[in-house]
Amino acid sequence: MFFLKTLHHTVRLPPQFFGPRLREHVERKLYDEVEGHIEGRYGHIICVLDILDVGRGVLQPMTGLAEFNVVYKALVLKVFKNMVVDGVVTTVNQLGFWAEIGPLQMFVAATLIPSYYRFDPSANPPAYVSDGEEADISLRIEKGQAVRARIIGMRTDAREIFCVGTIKEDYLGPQEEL
Amino acid sequence: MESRQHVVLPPDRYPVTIITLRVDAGQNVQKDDVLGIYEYQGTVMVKDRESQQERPVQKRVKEELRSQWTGRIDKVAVQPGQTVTDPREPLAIVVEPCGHLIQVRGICATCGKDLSIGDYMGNDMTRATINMAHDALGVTVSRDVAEKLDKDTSERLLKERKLTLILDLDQTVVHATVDSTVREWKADPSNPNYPFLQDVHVFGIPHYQTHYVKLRPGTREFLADMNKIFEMHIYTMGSRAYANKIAEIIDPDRTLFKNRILSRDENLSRSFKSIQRLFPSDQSMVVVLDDRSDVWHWSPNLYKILPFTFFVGTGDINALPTDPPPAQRRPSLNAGGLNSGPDEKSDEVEEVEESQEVLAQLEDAQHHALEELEKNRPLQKLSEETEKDEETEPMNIDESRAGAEQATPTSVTQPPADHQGQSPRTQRRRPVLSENDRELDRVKQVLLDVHKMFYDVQDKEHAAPDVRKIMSQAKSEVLQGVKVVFSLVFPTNVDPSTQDLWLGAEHFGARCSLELTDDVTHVVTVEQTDGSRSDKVKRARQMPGVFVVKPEWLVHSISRWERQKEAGYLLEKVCRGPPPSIETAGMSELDEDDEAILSGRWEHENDIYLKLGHDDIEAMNREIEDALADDSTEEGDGDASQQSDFDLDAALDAEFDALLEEDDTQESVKKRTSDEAGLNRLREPTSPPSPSSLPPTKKTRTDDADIIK
Repeated sequence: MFFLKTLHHTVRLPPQFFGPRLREHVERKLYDEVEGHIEGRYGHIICVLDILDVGRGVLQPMTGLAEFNVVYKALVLKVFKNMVVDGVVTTVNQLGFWAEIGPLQMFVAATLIPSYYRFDPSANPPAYVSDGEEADISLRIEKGQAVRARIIGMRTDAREIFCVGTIKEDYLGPQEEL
Repeated sequence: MESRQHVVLPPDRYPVTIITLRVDAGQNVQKDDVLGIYEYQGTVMVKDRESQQERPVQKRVKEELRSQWTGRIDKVAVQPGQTVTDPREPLAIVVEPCGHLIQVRGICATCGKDLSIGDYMGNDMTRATINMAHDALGVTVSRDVAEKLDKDTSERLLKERKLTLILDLDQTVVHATVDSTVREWKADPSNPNYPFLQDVHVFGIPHYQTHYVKLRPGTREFLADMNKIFEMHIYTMGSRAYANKIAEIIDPDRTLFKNRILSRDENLSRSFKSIQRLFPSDQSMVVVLDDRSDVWHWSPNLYKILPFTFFVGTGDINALPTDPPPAQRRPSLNAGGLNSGPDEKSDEVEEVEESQEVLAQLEDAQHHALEELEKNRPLQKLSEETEKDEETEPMNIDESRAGAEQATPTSVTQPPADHQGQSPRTQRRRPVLSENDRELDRVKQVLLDVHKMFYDVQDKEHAAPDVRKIMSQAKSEVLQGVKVVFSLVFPTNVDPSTQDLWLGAEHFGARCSLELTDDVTHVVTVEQTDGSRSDKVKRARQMPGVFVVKPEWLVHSISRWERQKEAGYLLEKVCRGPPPSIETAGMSELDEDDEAILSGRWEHENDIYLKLGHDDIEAMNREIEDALADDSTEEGDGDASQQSDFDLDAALDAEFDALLEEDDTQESVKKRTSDEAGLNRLREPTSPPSPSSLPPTKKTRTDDADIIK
């Protein structure tokens, strides 16, 4: 789910940037440091929408760096357990498949793919193919296919968030059009 | 995925007596819940009150039986009061709702539970530790699941009548370099190498130099044919980006390899490859094709192909930079001291995981090596040298042509990598590069045979045969009955029986030794730069039926699964094997002992030597020196008159031999002892050298010099 959040970030600016364009430097450094990164509680920071306050820099006595406590408004993506998400398949193998949900990686194990999907290693590219008996139409899960899945577990590391999902429920699985 | 777990106790507790039970079938239990109380005969340390010392005491100990799992009790197999003696008999069965058999970086892929959180009994991440996917995205499975997946694969392949082929890239099907000379030559039609470079592929990899890649001749046909009977995988020590680029070249529409590509980024180790990485439990249908055997620990599944060297002077750009590149390395010198015993039975997945730091260092080292290579431009140097040679020594062309013929054993075969290092001398007036490698055709034939044998057995016995057995069998027949002695091949500071060449020879049915014995058939040795010969070689060339060959004979026999004809690999230009020239020089009156002494096989030779003390030897030395004093002056006179008849080489040869002898007292003592035993007689006919019988004269002259010093 996407949220609009007001967040804080401390920017430490080296002395060579002190001057007339100081504010610009602080803003650029903020974009560099937070956009595309993960904030433990809030998930992925997709982009900074507005910088509300740069504050007055405080000089650090030992280092000469100036510390700015920046308040900004950002678009964040946070996923929750049991959330249904849409993604794009990236890798398919006999253990299951990986999908990308924006910046997130998701793995769906073969056991959580409905049993009427068979893994076909001789297909090019390899794919899970429904045999068409239980499913009304022949569907394929292959690289590039849009899928809808439910998140059953997730993990937040320092650099990335990834989750495991299932498509073994009604209305989940390959989608015609996202 | 439900999984049934058996509640058992450590084997050393048995027999145990159940005192009470606290659960019934159908009940749900949490991890660490008490299921009951049991009693066993235990040893406890009791502190003695008087002596204050601890001593073990046997006594009945009561303990709680706890569940290691959260789940439903399916069955309680014991009654209160019952005594259980068999440690394999489960006390109860707990059905877990999820066995966490497939995990992704600490999360169960089936139930989504975070398994990295453990308790005092450890965490559940240890249940699934095998990574068997080609990628390194972090999906791990348990042994059970791995076995099932392996079995599925085998069944599918049997149905399609295919086997698995794991293919190496560098120097097996392609040769890559970063030498930018290639670009210049490729654009210059006047360059003699121009025609060979037209199908060289050029690509860039971020953070690396531009790569120039040449396919081994016949690669495309080979892959297309193999694809019909093999499911092919790429397993390379190159980076992922590199592997993908090469795959794009050799398999543009991705029909051959699909996504079955494993690079060093996904491999656990930078120095070894492992079939278990892809096939954790069943390797009976896997054939490996690689130019290096040490990285595979001489796996029985391996077919070792001769390395493909197109860009002379460049080795395997993705090999560990600490190794000397194959172009310069002797087969014996690589990866010394690796404990590379083939562990055929080992089912464990090898996890020689190197720390991130080490990997980063290796990466740096490789960057360095590539930069060096780019800077050094071995190709350009080589061709410059060639040109210089041509200018300065136009007179010697004939001689070096002859040399070239010797270096290339048979005209059809590609000269081995070692020789290409010397090619500026041998391949003058020709382009530095050449395109006559046909190894893949041989490999194709062997692999077709393996496939046929596998499915012949399969059809006859209806039981899945084992590629390892078929290949080991075929390999061991190649050098059947051959006994090899190595001389000057291995460095003295390593155990020769761990070396590539030694292990290889043994795998192919030869017996290996360092001692020259009667049953030896081949002496493998390297050409010394100064033309000198080792003790073993000298003795061996007196032995009838013993071939003195270069290591390439062994390397080629191993790589081609076919005993090569020794004629092309002999150390000396003339074969001095079966018809020893001495005997033809009118020595027919020799008795058996003399002959044995002559050929260095006299059985009592060592006895005499052993019985002699140091003083005896010295005394003997003096005696012989005295006795030979006039002989040698005579010899000198003879030399002077003959000088014009000997070619320079022979004279030098003799001198080298003589010099070498002086250093080696043991050798000289042996020679002298045999001399005493009757060689005086042998020298007689040669002392007035007759110009008419030159070859034998030459031969004995050499021997004379040996003895005389």
